Parts: sequence; structure tokens; C-alpha cells
Amino acid sequence: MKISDRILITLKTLKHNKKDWIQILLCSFTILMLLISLTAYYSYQRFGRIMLEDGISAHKIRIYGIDETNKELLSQIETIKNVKIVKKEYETYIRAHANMTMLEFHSIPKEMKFIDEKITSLGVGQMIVSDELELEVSGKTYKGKELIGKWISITIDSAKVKKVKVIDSVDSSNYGIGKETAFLSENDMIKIADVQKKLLDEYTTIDDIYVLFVENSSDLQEVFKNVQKFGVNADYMVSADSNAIKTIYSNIFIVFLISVFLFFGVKFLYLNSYYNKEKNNISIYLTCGYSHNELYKIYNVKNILCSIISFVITLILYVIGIIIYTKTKVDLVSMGLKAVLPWYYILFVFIVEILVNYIITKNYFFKAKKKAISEFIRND
Amino acid sequence: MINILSFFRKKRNIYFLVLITILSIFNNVIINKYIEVDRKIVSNNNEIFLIVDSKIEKEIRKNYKKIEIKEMRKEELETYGIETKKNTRYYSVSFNKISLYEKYKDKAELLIANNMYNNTLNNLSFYSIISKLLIVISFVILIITITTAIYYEKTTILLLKMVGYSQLRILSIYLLNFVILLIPSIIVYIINIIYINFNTLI
Repeated sequence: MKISDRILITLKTLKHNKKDWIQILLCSFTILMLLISLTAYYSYQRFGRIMLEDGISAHKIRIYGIDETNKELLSQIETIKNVKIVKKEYETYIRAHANMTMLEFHSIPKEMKFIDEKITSLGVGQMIVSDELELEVSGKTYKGKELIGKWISITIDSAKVKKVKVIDSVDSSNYGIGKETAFLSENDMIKIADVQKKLLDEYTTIDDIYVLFVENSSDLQEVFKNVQKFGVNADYMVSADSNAIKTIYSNIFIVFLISVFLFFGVKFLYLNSYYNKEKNNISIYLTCGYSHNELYKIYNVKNILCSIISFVITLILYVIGIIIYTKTKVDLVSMGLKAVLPWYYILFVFIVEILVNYIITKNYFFKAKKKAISEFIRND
Repeated sequence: MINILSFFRKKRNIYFLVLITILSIFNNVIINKYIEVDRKIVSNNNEIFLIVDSKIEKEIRKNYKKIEIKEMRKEELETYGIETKKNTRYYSVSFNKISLYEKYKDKAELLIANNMYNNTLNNLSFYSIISKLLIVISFVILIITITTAIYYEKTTILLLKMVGYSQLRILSIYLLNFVILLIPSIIVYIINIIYINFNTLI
């Protein structure tokens, strides 16, 4: 039997069999459930990463107004629990021109956990850019990964300071950094700062700002309170409560696990009862002269068709939901929550859906082969 | 009695029974998790409160009797930048749930919170949207399964009619069957309600 014939037969049965449509509807809703919980899990993972875990600002506390001569206070602040490093502002953050566009340069302490190994191995004269940065190199504009391997000159007030080579790019959303951000090694940062010191008078104003790095972002508030006890001005850039997000995140993970369990449970239980009912039709097919093998192939095609239809219904519902969501909840979207799943998640769910259908069909027909045809008829 | 048991002699009806109980357990877990998050976030941020005038204060007192309400002094109000009108009193209200803040946020004079509160609220609203959606979908699945359970019984109902059962008797048999079908899920709901109330008492 050709595949086209099999598809024709399945379409004919789909027209008349209400059970198939009930199955399609039920499956599409369970897939929708799975997709929604997956979306929530994915977006909270992303959001948590932005706000709390990898975002540089989630580990930074700025301290104002400490003289360099007041070393006692600095050493006292260094001994606060959970404080990793205290550095001058210009050693961790600086603004300068790179190929005529203003950039923000960061350097990251080497022993901290939150950053990839790629950045920790950053050497002198090397630079890492964010993947959304656009720069002009010899007349052409390059973006993100295209910049890798290019030489870029850093200037301050049109005075050349240094030439650096781009060696890598990082996901800007992962690190909670802006579009115009780059990473430099600490030596380069100090060199740029020295030139800035000579050229600009304003530089003196940022001279007495210190930056304090905290190992775990969840300790940030506690450390902040301890710093304030010393009577210095301090602030931090984090805009979300880490404990609250962690509780939401763990709860969403449980919901996600349950929906996965439900997806499989509904599929197995429902398809089994479907086949118990479908026995009648199968026995009619068998008495009409179809061989067991042929029937198995027909039902396989039918199931794949059913899962494709149910998946299409789900995707339509999902996309409509996302459009409504992104138009009504602008605040959340601007905060970094993404309602849209990456395509490979959706593809994965689709493959799982088809595989489960395939396995159940095979299982059922394997069982049915053992039984006699007469038992089919007697049972229902 | 024999008829009732024959309903569950079929394998598919036991499958439906299991499915409906699983769905109800799932629903209850989502509801529980939502309530848990709602309370936990407030216990983390204990510096949140609303400043309301006496009109809304009465409304809140009516609806929620256990809520903490304090009268505010003029000097306190001035530090928050509120211009005091004559003959009106202002109160600070702190709820034990974050969803209540969301409810009275627009009516209140001012919401005092640490700078991270608004983002947390946004987070929670996203979470509540998702949990509500999931509950609605699981109810839709529940309704579909119940209707299929009826639909699958079509042939047996016809057979019963042909044998000579009256319509009323068939109806009563199936009503009993569906009550039995829903009993485990109803038990799950009751247990959940008791669990929630027990937790709030503590």
C-alpha cells in the first residue's frame, strides 16, 4: 500500500470518527499546557539570570566619598562577610571611545563565579564585546560575532590610547549588560584610566568611588546594610528581590514537572482507552481483509497526522496568547521576560508528541497480535 | 447495583477515573503554590505598606478583619511628601498577601516599598497569569474527559434502552456512576481546602 493511499484512508476515517477529534482536542490542550509551563520556566530562568545570577550589577555595590588616605575604613569594609573584592571604580568600569563610538568597558574580578571562563582568561590587549554591539571597522559596520578577530583602537578625546583585538562575544542578555558594552583586562583599564587622568579634570570626581563585589547575589542586600553601618554613602543597581524570584522560580519548576507528568499521563491513559474503544473498527478492518501489518501502518500514519493537527492547533492558540500577552503586559516584556520559546524547544515537544503516539500504537498492536480476532469482537 | 459495577468493569472508565483525579491533584498543587508564593514574598519584604485615607480604611476593615492598620502622624506623612487635607485622617495598611496590595494599589494615596518591590510585583503578576491559564486549561481537559466518558457510553445506553430500561433508570444509574467517578477528585479538593486553612491558622 502506498503512503498516499494510507493518508487517504486516514482522512476518510478522520471525517467520520468523532473519537479522533476528541483525542486531537485533548492532546492539543495538554501540549498547550506543557508549552505554557515551559515558557514560564524558560522566561523565569532567563529573568533570574539577568537580574540575579550573571548580571554584573547584581554583584556590585558602589561606595562614595572615601579618601585614599582613609585606608583603615577600606580595610574594615574589606573584612565584611561575603565581600569578595574592593576596587576603585575605574578599575572595573570606564567610558571611552572605540572607533569613534562611545563604549562602556568592564573588567571582571578573576575569581568570581558568575562569568564564563572565557572572560577570566582575558589577556592584555584583548577585548570581548556584547553580541549586539555595532562598530565601524575600516568603513564597514560589523555586529557582534562578526567583530571577532578585528583590531579596534581605543581613544580618549581623539588621543589614541591602545589597540585591542576582539577575541570573543558574549550573550548580552545573559550578563545583564547593555548594547554598547565590552570587556577589557584590568591592566588595559588602568592604562586607559591613566590617560584619562592626564587629559580630563573631571576624572578627579570619580577618583574616590570604590566598587565592592559580592560573591553571591543573594547576599547583596545583607552586605549593603553592613556597608551602610560604616556611615558611607552606597548604592546598588539590582531591581528585583532575589529571594522572591527564587521562590517563584522553584514553584514554577514544580509546576513544569507536574505538567510534563500530566502530558505523559493524559497521553498514555487516554490513548489506551481510545484503542480499547477502537477495537471495534480494527476488527471490522480485519474481517474486511486488511492484514495486521497493513492496519498497523494505517494507524501509524493516522496518529502522526493527528499529532500534527493537534500541534498546529496548539501553536495557533499559543501564538494568539503571546500576541495578547506582549501587547497588554508591556512592562514585563521590557524587563526582559520573553514569552516566545526558542524554536528548538517547540521542535522537541513536537518530536516527543509524535514519539509517544508511535510507541503507544506499536505497543497496542503488539499486544493485539497475541490475542485472537474473536476476542476483539467479544470484548466490546 | 450490578449496573453500577459494570460501568467500572470497563478498563477505559478506570482510566478516566485516574485521569480526572490526576487533573484535580494538578489543579490543587497550582493553587497551593500560588498562595504560597503570594504569602512568602510579603514575608521577605516587610517594609511594604499602603497609605490610605479613612474611606478606604473602612472598606478594608470591613473585608479583612485581621489586617494591621495604624494611624499616621502629620510629621510622618510629610516625610513621604503627602499634603494633608483638613478633617481627613491617614492610615498605614500592611497586608499579608501581595495580591491584596495589587487590589488596593490604585485606590491608595501612596505605596511605600523598597525599590525592588515593583519588579517583584510584575513577576508575581506574570506568575499569576500563568497559573490561572494552567488551571483554566486543566479544567477544559477535565470537561473534555467527562464528555468523552459520556460519549463512549453511547452504545451501552442504546443497548440498555433496547433491553427495556426506562429513561429515568438509565439516568439515575449514570448519575451515580459519575458521582463515583468524581469522588476521588472531590476528596482531593476537600483535603486541599483543609490544608490551606490549616496553614493560614499557623
